[in-house]
Amino acid sequence: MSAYRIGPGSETQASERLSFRFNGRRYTGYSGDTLASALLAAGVRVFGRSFKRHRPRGVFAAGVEEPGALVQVGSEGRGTPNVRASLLPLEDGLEVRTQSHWPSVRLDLLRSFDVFSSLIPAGFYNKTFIWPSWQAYEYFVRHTAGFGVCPQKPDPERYAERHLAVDVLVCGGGPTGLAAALAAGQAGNRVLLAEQDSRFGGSLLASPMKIDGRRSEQWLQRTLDAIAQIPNVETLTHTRVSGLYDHNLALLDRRMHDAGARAELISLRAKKIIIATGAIEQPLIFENNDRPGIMLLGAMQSYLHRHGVVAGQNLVFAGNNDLLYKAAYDFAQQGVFVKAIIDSRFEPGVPYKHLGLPIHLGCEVIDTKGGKELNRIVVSQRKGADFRAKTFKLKCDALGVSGGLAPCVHLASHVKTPLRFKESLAAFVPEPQSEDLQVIGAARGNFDLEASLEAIAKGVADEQDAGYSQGIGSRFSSGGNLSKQWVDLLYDVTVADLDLAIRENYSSVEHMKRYTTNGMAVDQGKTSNLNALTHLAEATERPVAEVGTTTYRPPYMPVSLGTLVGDKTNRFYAPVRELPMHRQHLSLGAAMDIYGAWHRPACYPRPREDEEDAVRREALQVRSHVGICDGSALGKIEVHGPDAAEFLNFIYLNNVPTLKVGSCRYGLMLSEQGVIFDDGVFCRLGDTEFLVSTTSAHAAQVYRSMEEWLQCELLNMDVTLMNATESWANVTIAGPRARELLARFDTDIDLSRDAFPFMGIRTGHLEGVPARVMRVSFSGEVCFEVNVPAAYGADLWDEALGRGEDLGVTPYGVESMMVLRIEKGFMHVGSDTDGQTVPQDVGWGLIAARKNADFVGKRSLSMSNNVREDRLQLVGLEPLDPRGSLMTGAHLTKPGESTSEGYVTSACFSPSLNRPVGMGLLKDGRQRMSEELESYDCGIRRAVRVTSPVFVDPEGARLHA
Amino acid sequence: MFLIPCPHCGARDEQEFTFGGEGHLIRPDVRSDDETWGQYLFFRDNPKGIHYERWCHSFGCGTWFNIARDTVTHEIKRVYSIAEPKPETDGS
Repeated sequence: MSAYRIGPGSETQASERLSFRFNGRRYTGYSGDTLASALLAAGVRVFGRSFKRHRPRGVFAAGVEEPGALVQVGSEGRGTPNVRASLLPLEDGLEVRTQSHWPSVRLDLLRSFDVFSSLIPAGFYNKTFIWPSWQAYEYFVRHTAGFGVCPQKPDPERYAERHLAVDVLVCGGGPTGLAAALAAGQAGNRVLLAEQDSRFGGSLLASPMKIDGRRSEQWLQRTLDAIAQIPNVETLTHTRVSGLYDHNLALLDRRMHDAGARAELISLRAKKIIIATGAIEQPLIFENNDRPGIMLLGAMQSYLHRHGVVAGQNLVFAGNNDLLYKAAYDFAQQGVFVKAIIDSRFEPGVPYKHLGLPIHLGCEVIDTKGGKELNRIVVSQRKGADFRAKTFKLKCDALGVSGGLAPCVHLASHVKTPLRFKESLAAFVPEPQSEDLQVIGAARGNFDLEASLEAIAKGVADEQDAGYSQGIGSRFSSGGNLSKQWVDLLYDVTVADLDLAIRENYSSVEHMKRYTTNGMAVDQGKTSNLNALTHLAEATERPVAEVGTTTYRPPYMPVSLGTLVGDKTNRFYAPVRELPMHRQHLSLGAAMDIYGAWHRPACYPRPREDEEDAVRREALQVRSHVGICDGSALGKIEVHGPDAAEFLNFIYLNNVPTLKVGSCRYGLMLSEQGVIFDDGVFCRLGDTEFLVSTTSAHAAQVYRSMEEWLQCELLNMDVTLMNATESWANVTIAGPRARELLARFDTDIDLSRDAFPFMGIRTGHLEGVPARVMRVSFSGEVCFEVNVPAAYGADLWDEALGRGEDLGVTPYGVESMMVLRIEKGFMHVGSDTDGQTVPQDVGWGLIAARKNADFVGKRSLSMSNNVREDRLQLVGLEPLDPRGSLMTGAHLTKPGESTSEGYVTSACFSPSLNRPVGMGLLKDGRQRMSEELESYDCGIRRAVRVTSPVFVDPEGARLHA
Repeated sequence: MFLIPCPHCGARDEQEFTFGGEGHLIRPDVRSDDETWGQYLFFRDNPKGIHYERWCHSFGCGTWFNIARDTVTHEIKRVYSIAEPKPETDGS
């Protein structure tokens, strides 16, 4: 038991004890503790195992940069892996487990990986697990590696979402962030200040100091009070700016406790963004620098001040900069005396003699001793060029290391702010290029807080060149066993791994990162990237600025999927469109399915009937009697204006101006590439009024495309478009008794065969309600598509079923409609055509060739690729055996051969013919009528014959009846 | 996500818009040769710098319009009507 508590600290309350479990064992801590501080105070050192070599890992940091103490919290739907112990607020009843070990964290048998570590160098996976395949090894590798487990059940929590627009977003609630928010708020701006920690104060919480001659606690309280007076400033703790995006968009991840939701996602647009995210202390590299007990210097200060926890009995501070002396003074103020300071430089930049403790200048830690826990360090003394002139051991159970501060450049880098390597800091600093992005304080590399605060108060740029007065030393120890010197504590990347990558020529930062996985773990290299590329620069004898850095991308810290998804789950996942007769379908027991965005009935199974039976029954009933189908999803675009006919003549492949009022025509719409884009029916309601009926799936795209042509290219045309798809309900009445059924309604439309022939459209009334009736057919039967205003659709549907009962009327669904259209050989764009099908492939070549006027896609039809003779053409297919339906997508080959000459596009078992029929796209298909081929699907071959696609009523007698 | 100034509705999030690709393409005559027509169909500029492109405020007013956007910084330099010719200079 080495760490201990000296008092309550500034945030913990000794009066309130909390009980929690760590690996099943009960512990207590104080209210205000984090898991890390509570366990440290309880003497726990080992918090987990490293990813690859299963080395013991302890608490290394006190914030988001933590690479060691990652734990599994909660279970089942609330289970969360990889929680940083340093960020987890202690709660009564908390259940925490360690990760990445087997069988236990104290005795990890997988530690053998460490013993044989020379066998698993960088690139090990890429070189080793390739024969016979990665899959052969995956189970074992996944079992031994891995960071905890995903939630095993649906997440029972709720998540909130908020959208905001502000004048100024301040990222970070440390001293400079607070000062900037105050200044912006006082100037009248609407400000949001986001702080990821549980309270404001940033570096001041871990390392109090004097500001304006007063204690920083007082300055902090005064500033927070002043901000609270400004109503236009919103301040949020527990809120992390996880990403910055184009045009000053920010995503904020806010943890909420006991507020009805677990987290809130704030999506925010700011006129100006101020980044005040501070800096992250960097570690030192030496042999066995990963042993539990070694911690960042600033983290030690944080645990001392915030939680009253001292990391060990024998404290030693080692580093390359002046922070060592400030920290030792800080500890002495609290009555804790450091055993020694080890500074790799010969000349500190601050007075140090008054500290009255052993200070080893020109010295560096080169090794550590101990089992799972640190108990000794080995120090070397440098003389001239000899780095190891003398070595000695020091008793030490807690080593605070400081490689200097590196500005937290992540957010600035998200929006591609250039980063400049600053030699005096041995770190990158951001250089914003735009006025609506500002980086201040330590995030800018300015570590003189009072100077930064002064600049903010004066409203001038915070750009003084503050660094360390005596410079900063190297973070790397000299020599030693490089395979025991950790750069990335989480993914077990050592200096030897980096060197191997360089030897194998992975010497660009991007290559080295991916080859060694340095910085690719869940901490995203917050304490390892800089050291890795510093080493790369040195090893390849290039300046760091030339080596550069990998790009930091959002999110800054992992965001849980629950937070991103919010309440957009299950039925709120995507909007659904319901038909006007939706309730009717449900009460008829329809099997509903999603077609495009629409919920539509597939068919209406009766009790003890499966869907296949229902489709068969419905299709037969339409052929023999009459059926009704909800066609409301069909697109309905109104085209009005003096140039309406000319406009549609340009949009459609067909000749439009010759169409008579009261008539419809089936037409094709092409893309400019000549490919069939949509088919449908266009109807002439008047000289200057048309109605375009599109397929259900393409209504929105057709409308958008028409608008684009009108607004962007055909500026002189006087045409107005309106997408009326949802304004009208469509009840399609089809079958030999369709006319008889429709005639039972009171209507002013003459329904007789001569007055209302096939491909006619009539407007009038049905039971006094405005109606548009079209005689078109997708089933091959006599058919009336009756359109009434959407609100009347349900009544019309109910009445049609009621009044047609003695005629044998049946509702039929989309799947039954598909069977009917396949029997009749009507193609379905998107099923029987693909992204290359042009009109000549489906028998429309002559119609296209006869039209002189230009239209969309016309020129493309004569491009060389579109007039080739071996193109895929639409044909009918008849299996020679009577077994079930062909498989859609099956390849078509010559008998016994394996070269695909096309494929099956639509297939069904025809109830009317009592045999399977289908359609397909076949190379040079129209020249191959009666040829016998084979369909091939998953090893099964069936003999098929090429035919005309029209299987039912080829002469059209039923259609025109 | 961009913030796009619709000339009719003002600045809105990109998700309300549909990208229409490069603007100011000239549709060749139907009698043009394969080469010319192929250029129109398939070949587009991909500049590092100002790109002239058209957008539609499809989940808003439905207006198509042109913008000049810097492809490096994503700064939208200019918004102008579909009928206006391509700006002569850098769009600013």
